[in-house]
Amino acid sequence: MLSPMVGQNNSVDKQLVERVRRGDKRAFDLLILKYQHKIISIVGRYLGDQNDVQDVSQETFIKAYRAIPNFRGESAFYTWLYRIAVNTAKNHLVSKSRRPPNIDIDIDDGEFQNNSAVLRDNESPQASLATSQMEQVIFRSIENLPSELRIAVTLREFDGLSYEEIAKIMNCPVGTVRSRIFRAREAIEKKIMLMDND
Amino acid sequence: MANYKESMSAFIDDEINEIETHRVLRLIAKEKNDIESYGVGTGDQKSLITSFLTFMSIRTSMSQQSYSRRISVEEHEALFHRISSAIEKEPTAHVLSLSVSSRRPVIGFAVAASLLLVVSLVALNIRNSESVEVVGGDNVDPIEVGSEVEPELRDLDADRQKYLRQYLNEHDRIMRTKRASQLVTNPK
Repeated sequence: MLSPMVGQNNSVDKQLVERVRRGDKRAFDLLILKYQHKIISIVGRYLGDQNDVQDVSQETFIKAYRAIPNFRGESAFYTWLYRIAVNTAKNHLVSKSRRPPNIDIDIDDGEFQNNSAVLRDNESPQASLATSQMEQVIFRSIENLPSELRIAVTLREFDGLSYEEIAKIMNCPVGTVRSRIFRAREAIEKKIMLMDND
Repeated sequence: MANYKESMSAFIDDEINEIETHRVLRLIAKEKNDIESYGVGTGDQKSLITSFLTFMSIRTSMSQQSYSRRISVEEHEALFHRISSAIEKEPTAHVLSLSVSSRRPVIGFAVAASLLLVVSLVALNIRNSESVEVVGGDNVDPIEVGSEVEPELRDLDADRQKYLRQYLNEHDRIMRTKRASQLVTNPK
């Protein structure tokens, strides 16, 4: 399985970074929304406490915002952000007189592997149950999707293919792929909302 | 609304154009303002941020992003607003950038001053080296016949002294010419 696209297409990020540089703070909101999950996931691998994870994630984004005038775009925005997150998490450990792990988490491992020796896991039983329930809803929803939606979203999320690649595989226009992926996500979202309401 | 959500879905996948990005930006900003002003979102856009974060949670679950999926969409949303508010309080990146770039002219002046100093020193050094290296500079008079006889010429008869003076004067002239040609650099 290919890892989901990380910086495969940086042009959108570059546009947003450029907007932020010109003084448009709203553009940074989109970057937060886009990478918040990943940053939490990475920071969560260094720190156990959920409050610390959220604080350090927030600090990561603030540091990135302050440093954005110096971001030269030589690497993808996410790669740059990832480094800030790791350093901020390590500094947090040092400030709490705890030794940061000697092993650095790989940029892909940090996001997509379930377990690691250097990681801490303070998941509460309630959180674990909620996670498990949500996953069940998501995967059941995917199974129940019409096949063209299921295939499109699976190729995108599991295999990390671009819309163009999916369009070739499914023999349909890129616009159709885009629409199918969106409809699949929307259908899953509705199921999650129903779960939350129950 | 569905169109905007579709744009947002495409944005998550980096499959969006600049105009759509701008639209999504505007809507998210509006929703944020509504939440800040009224405490809740209003109008059609009220669930855009929630949907965005839900879509990201779906991705997280499907891609096994372990820690992040333990945080609910509501917690993600609260965190987003927290971070966004903190960013609002920051000076704009434009101002930050100016504070960085404002140092550049100072650095430029420092470099220019250093360069000027180096050039002056080099020029001074060239002048000093001229007076040291060149035998018989411009203000050194050629040896005249009949002037006081140098110690090394005393043992010679008058004709030989004359020839030797001529030789030394010619040598002096050639040396001056050679020095002048050394100072003129001709790259071609």
